[in-house]
Formats: sequence, structure tokens, C-alpha cells
Amino acid sequence: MKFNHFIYIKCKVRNQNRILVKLYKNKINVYDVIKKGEEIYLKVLESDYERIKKTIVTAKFYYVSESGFYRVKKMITPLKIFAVLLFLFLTNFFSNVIVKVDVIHSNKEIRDLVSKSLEAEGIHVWSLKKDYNTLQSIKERILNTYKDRLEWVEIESSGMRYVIRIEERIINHFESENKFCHIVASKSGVIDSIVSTKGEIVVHEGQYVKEGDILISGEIVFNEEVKNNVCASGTAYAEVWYETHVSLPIEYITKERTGKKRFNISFESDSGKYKLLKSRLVTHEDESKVLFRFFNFTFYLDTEYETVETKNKYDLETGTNVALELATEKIQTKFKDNEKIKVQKVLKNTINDSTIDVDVFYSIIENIATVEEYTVIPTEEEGS
Amino acid sequence: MHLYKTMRNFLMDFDYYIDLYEEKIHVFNYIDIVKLTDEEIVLAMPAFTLTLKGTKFVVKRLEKREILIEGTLEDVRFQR
Repeated sequence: MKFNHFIYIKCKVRNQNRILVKLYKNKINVYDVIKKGEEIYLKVLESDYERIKKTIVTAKFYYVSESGFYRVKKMITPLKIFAVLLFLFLTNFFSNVIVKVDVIHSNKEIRDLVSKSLEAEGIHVWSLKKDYNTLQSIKERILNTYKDRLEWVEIESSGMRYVIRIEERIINHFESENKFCHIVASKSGVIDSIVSTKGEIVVHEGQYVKEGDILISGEIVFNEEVKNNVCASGTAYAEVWYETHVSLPIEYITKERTGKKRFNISFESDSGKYKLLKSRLVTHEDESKVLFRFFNFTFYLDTEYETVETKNKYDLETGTNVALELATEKIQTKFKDNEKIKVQKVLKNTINDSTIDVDVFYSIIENIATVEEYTVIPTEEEGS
Repeated sequence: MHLYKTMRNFLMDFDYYIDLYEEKIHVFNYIDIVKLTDEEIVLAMPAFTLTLKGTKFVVKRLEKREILIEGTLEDVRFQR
């Protein structure tokens, strides 16, 4: 297939219409005319260009560019074709390559176990993604190898990484009960509630118990005679008392935003988060938005809000309240099921040059049940 | 005979025609350009002279038998 070879030429002339009439008189076709001030651009056949220059000598013509198919042909150079092919190849490569393998499980031993198996199966960093059937067979092989350790394995492709989720197989070994134990008080206090799942309760609600007292006995007594021994279990909530001392710095710093903000770019990798540009604000608070992720790096657009720091001082009342909140928060972090604060009271609060000292009394409902084993010496009858 | 004439004309394109569009004039099978300015274009046609008057006339395409003009047409005259 042969295409007409059109080119754009230009000339600078005042009476542009005369040029067109001259071209017409010389039987030269003009396929497009663009007028730009005193310049006129003409689309003509490439074969006519030399004839135009010879026949119209009153104006000087200049070659501008190719047109149509030949323009496209001129644009496509081997280097450009190579660049496009390279781009396609790299896009294809990076969309099929794994840059991270995340094995998700709380147990490090299980994680290492599965990571090693995956490496042996060819799933590691910089390896190519596997198809669905291969992944299924890899999962089956891992499960078969560690059938007593693993319950379920899932390999999930998420962008350029594989996320491996594991369910550990937990085998419960029910040991025959061959030990005897009491539930004793780990602390002194007044029993609030007591529940036994095995064994006999020997204290009642409202009773004061000392540390080490038996709360639920492993000895099953009938008619004042020990008929059986078990390992007692249950819960015993008691009211126990604590006294804590909190020392709070009298000065505290508050930050206020001035309304001035600057933008910055930061990136995060395994080793931490780093800013690309030096911050132009002395003190600031940052808010980050994810821009994009590239391999193992996450790029953020940070908005830095300028802040002004002001030093303030607590008065005795406010300082005491803050100290009380801190103490309560700290105590509550240690709480287990159904444990709670019953009463809290400030015993003493003093203000010094640099600190506020607060003594707080707490009455807490706490599980004081703890297991204590005991041995039974078999009688002669039992022994024989 | 009529069929022959129609077929011949279809294949050979002997007939002239003038198409008027909004801000465009297309003339086919003209004989010669008599006058070409920004306000007036005079074309010699097989049986008459065609005078186009208007403003901002620009020739967009110019071939042996075909001309495409852009501009605002105000007056068309046929002179035998």
C-alpha cells in the first residue's frame, strides 16, 4: 500500500492569495492552508515541493514537517520502539515479581517453619508469582509435611507481595489427673464472690482471709472424713487495698497550632521513616497521607503544622486530678477479667517546688485465687 | 440513453456543484479562478461566472477541479 507523501511548507508573503492562484495556475494541488499573520503554511505533495520552489521565485519556501503516515513513520525510531518494549517488559516483570513474603502468625517458630518451606518451594523475595494450581499444590505439600503442626495455610497475592496466613494445629493432651491442689489466697482481703468449678468452698462472702488461706479445698469431705482428693479450681474475688504514691512534674507543656503549614515528603521502609526535605518549621505537628507505594517503600505527603509550645503550671487541685487519672490508668492496665476499682481516695497531696506528690488509696475487687499443690500420703489400707 | 448519461456522470464527475455550509463553501468542477481576495472570489464555471462576496475568505484546499473556502458568505451571484 502506497501513501501520498504530504509535507507542510511555509513562506512569508503579503499577498497570500496570489501565491495560491499561482499554484493553481501551475496545476499544483494544495491540500491544506493555514494562515498565521504574514506566514502561510501549505500542505502539498512532497514531489511538488521542488517544482513550487522553481516556479514561484517571488517567495521563499521552507520545509516545515512531514504529514500523515510519513510523519508517524519519522517519529517511530528504533530507540523509541526499544524504549516502549523495555517499558512493557519491565511493567510485566514488576507486576509478576514478589518483593516481600509476609508470613503472619504470632508464633515465631511456626513463621520460620513456613518461611523455610516456602523458600524450598521457590516462593521468596524477587521470585516470580506462581499460578493458582501451583500455589494450591504448594499449600497441600506444606500441610502434608507439617500435618501435626499446621491446620490451614493460605497464600494470598496482594500487589507485589505474598501474604501467608497460617492456622496452627493445637492438639489438646488431656493428661490424667494425678495431682491434688487447693485454691489459696494470694493476698489478704475480704471475699467478695467465690465460685468453684472443682473442689469444696471453705470460706464465705464477706469473710476476711489472709494470704495463704485455703479458699477452695481439694479434699472432698463427707461426714468429717476425707473421701476423695481433687485438684481444686475456681475464682475468688476479694476486696484488697493498695496505697500508691504519684509524683507529677508541676510544669507541663501545651502545643498550639499557629495556622501556618508547610508540605514535605517522607518515605518509610523497614528501617524507619525519613523526611526527604529538611523541615522549614522549628516546632511542628505532622499529618501524613500515603502518596504511593514502590517496592518496600511507602511515600507520604506530610503536612507540617507549626506549633507554639507554652509552659504551664498545675495548681494543687488540677495536679491532683491529673495524678489520680494517671494512677488509675496504670492500675487498670493490670486488671484481668471482672476486676475493678471499688473505692479510690486521695490520702495526701502536697505541692513542692517542682512536683506535686499525691498518695492515693485504692480498694480493688481482684481475683486472689492461686493454685497450691499438696500431696496425699496413702494410708496402709490404701497402700495394700 | 438517460441511464448511460447518469452512469457516465457518476463515474466521470463531469457536473459541477456548489455546496454552501455554515462558514464554508465547496465548489466542484470549476474551470478557473478569476479573482481571489479576502472579500471576493470569482470562479469561472462551465456555463457561468460565480461571484462569492463576504468577509475573511480563506482558501483551505485548492485542487485542479475543487476548491474549499472558509469565511462568512454574504452574497452569491451567477453571471451568464
